[in-house]
Amino acid sequence: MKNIKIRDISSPVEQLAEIKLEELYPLPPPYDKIEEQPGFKNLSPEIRAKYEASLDGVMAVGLKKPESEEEEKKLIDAFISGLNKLFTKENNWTFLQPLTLSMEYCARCQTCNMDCPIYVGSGMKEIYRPTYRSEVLRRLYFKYVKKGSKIYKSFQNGGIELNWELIARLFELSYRCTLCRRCAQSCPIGVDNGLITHELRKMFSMEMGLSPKELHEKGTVQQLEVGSSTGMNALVVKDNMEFIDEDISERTGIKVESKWDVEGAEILLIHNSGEILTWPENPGAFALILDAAGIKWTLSSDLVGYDGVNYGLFYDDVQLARVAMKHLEIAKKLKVKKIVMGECGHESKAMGVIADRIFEGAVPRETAMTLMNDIVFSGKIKLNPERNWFPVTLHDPCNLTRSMGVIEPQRKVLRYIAPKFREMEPHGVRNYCCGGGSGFAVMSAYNFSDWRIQVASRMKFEQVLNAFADESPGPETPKYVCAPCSNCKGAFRDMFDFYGAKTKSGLYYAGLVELIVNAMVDVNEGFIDFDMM
Amino acid sequence: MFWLFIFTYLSVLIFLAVVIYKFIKIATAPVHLRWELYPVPHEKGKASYGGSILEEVDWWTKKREKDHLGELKVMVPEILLLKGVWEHNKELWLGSFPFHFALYLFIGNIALLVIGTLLEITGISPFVFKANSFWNSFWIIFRTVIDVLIWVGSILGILGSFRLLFTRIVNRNLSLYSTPSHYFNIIFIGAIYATALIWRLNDSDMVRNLMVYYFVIITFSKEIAVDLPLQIPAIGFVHIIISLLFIIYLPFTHMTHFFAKYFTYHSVRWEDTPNAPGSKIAERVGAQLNQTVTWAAPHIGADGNKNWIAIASAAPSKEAKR
Amino acid sequence: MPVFEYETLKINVDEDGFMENPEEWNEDIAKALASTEDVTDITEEHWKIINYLRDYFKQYGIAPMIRKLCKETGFPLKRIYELFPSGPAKGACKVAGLAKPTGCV
Ligand code: SF4
Ligand code: SF4
Repeated sequence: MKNIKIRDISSPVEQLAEIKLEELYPLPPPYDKIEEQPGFKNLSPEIRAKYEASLDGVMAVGLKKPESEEEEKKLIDAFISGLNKLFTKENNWTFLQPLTLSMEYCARCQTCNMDCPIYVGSGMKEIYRPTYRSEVLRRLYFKYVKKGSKIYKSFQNGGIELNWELIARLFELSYRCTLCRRCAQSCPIGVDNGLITHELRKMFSMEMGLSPKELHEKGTVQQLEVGSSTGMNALVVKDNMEFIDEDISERTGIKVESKWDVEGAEILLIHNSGEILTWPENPGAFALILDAAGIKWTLSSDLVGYDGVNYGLFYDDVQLARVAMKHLEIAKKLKVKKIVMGECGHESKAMGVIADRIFEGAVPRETAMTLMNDIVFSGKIKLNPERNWFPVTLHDPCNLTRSMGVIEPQRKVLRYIAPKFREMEPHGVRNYCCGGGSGFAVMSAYNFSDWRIQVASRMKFEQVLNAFADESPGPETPKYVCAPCSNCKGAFRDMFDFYGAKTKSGLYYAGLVELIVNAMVDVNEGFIDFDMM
Repeated sequence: MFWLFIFTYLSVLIFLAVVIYKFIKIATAPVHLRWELYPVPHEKGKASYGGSILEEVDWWTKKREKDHLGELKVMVPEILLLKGVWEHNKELWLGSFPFHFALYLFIGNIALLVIGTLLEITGISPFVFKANSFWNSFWIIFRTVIDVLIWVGSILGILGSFRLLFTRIVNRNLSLYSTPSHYFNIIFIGAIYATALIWRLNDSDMVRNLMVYYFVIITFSKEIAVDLPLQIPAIGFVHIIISLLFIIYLPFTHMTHFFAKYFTYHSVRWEDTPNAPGSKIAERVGAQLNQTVTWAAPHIGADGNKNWIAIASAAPSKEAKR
Repeated sequence: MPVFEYETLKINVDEDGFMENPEEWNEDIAKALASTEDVTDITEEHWKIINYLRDYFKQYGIAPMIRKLCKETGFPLKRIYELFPSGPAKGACKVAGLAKPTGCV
């Protein structure tokens, strides 16, 4: 459909918007040739017949089409019921005030638009405008929740028609925004379109039981049942950490040993357990640094205690609270002085800020960035920055920066230990999301990763390339993107794989602690080995 | 013209009642989870780059110092100059800034007129004075300022209204999201500016007339009220009535952002108070956790009785596998 | 649930093409799944990886660490990418009939 308007979301057309590669924000060479790009996987007609792909031909979730009119009606009723609960203090005290403010006071001035990396990356597709989904929800709010005369309400806020098409599209649309909140920074009124997306997802999950499998069944539910969203139980995680200890000891020449369930330790370290499976150098490096700094630390092998992720943050307040309560319980049981969140942005935000008001009598929490900054400048470990001889740039995880204000510690460390460190533009509190935010990095059903990589990560990819523009462009110079967040690393991996950026441009990614260990004088040289990455 | 004064009181009353009601409603909303957005300007020494106290090791042992001046430094240019719009949406700013700034000038005028009346009540009359006295010069300057504000405000306001209306119609980004009320509101406010200007053009005694009007309103003096119609031209009445109608209408629109903005900034964006044991927040959250959950999705496991604490301490209900 | 058909085989897969019932896996299925992963010919090297993945999965119910896979099979990560272009998690695990990896991996 051309010239899409707000009300078109309930239009009976088969597909509302179409993404064309040539309309996306242009990438610099050698990624500028559209014919060389893999493009989008098309959904098969069978899938399209069964599932809703009527928003943009992309499916993040795969919502089943209702089979009968009754079913459709039931779903619409459930939607209206959820919509109303979203605005009650019993069910949504957690976000009622910010949500209501964002609903009622938007001036529709569109000042926020150009700050959204997805909207700009998509070549300004109407449906991805930060205000599009907000405006749909706003109109529904005024129509179905707010009291008052119908005519007056539609004079003030415009009308909308609620039907199944709208619900199906709005559901998918709530997974086309990474909750990065960059748009909220530029809103003069203080309206937060990221929050609105968050609330929409919550309503779908908490009332209608609709959410991406990766976040719910395989995410929080599995985490609460088995212990980790990765499916690792305590036995497997211990076995894996043992392997990491051996591997790291061998490679660094320094004996590393993970500590488990040490009561009264100074620090309870909780990693995103994805690190253990996929980026083992990261937890290994943590262990090595903490030991070298003489800190008494421990991991926990209790259910949920070894996985810091909390996908509830992205879609469901109850699941958020359940996971957060487990983390706190374990810290209390171990009587540790503080919890340190590993290199994971959303874990840091969930535990550090969001769950702050769910915890009663909480154990203090701190991010790894802060702790590492402290250790690096404490003089407890000897560093030779020259060992990090390659160019390095820093990716700012939105959750750490925009939502927590943790900006300088990681930079201070990099400015010291990476002589060829350079910033990307924009950075810090104004960074672009990696495109994997709000759970996107772990979502890959159907053709969603094609969309995520090419649209949501687009501005980030361009930004990374530009950050290294002064280096030789080919693979002969390895270029290190320091991304202190598991989610972001997943997004970078997929992005670099997709474009073949390792072979074409020599782009690599990993965390902050790896760079610290690589610079440690006591460690065998070459801890960071680009051939292995 | 007695009815005009009654109408004035009524308008102001309605305005205040609705605004206060809305204000209280927002202010008494439940404590929400933290959702601050950096940069938070009261973070001492860190606000310039968007940092927070969470950057400090063992931050909970450090004293939290709020830099209120820092907040002002952000708020003043934001409110007065619409800095955010200037930085992110220049095209709109060209209309929005004069449009809003004119409003500020008019509000400034209201304040001046009220102050003038109060002085009058204390016996310093602006109309009977000795030549070359202090009060003589004071009142001359006073009236000139008001007069200048009327000229500048109304002209700026008219230009701003036209520009804003133009942008809202022509720019697709805005027209797509504009409802009838947006155009109506601009025209409404534009009419206030336009009638002010026409009044001033036709009435060199406009300031004096306004002062009389305010005097009557504030002192409830019936006698002068009876004389007034002779002095205010028809367009003056039109201006006053449109302005009063607007005052009644305003609280029922999203334009109440003029005070809601206080909350979006101070209660959300910049609200970073940690939940310390025994604090007010802890107490309020504790009470909120006792509320019953009725979300219907199976994994929640709500039964109409369980509160947040019970739900959050339980494992996801088994029907979760769907 | 989508069904993937290859020659005479019918395999229940998830939306990403991973097997829904890993216990039904056999070598023919591996060949069928390999065709979706740009693996035209399953060589000895492929089998070595697949067998290791299967054994580990049988024992622990999830996929092994990538680093472990490299170490135990002796293949550097690069080689694994050459053998399975979408990588160890998305490529090799799929062909080996493992369930799709979950969490931030
Ligand atoms: S969210 Fe803010 S910036 Fe965006 S249209 Fe609404 S008021 Fe304007
Ligand atoms: S939160 Fe981020 S992704 Fe979502 S609309 Fe705003 S800027 Fe775009």
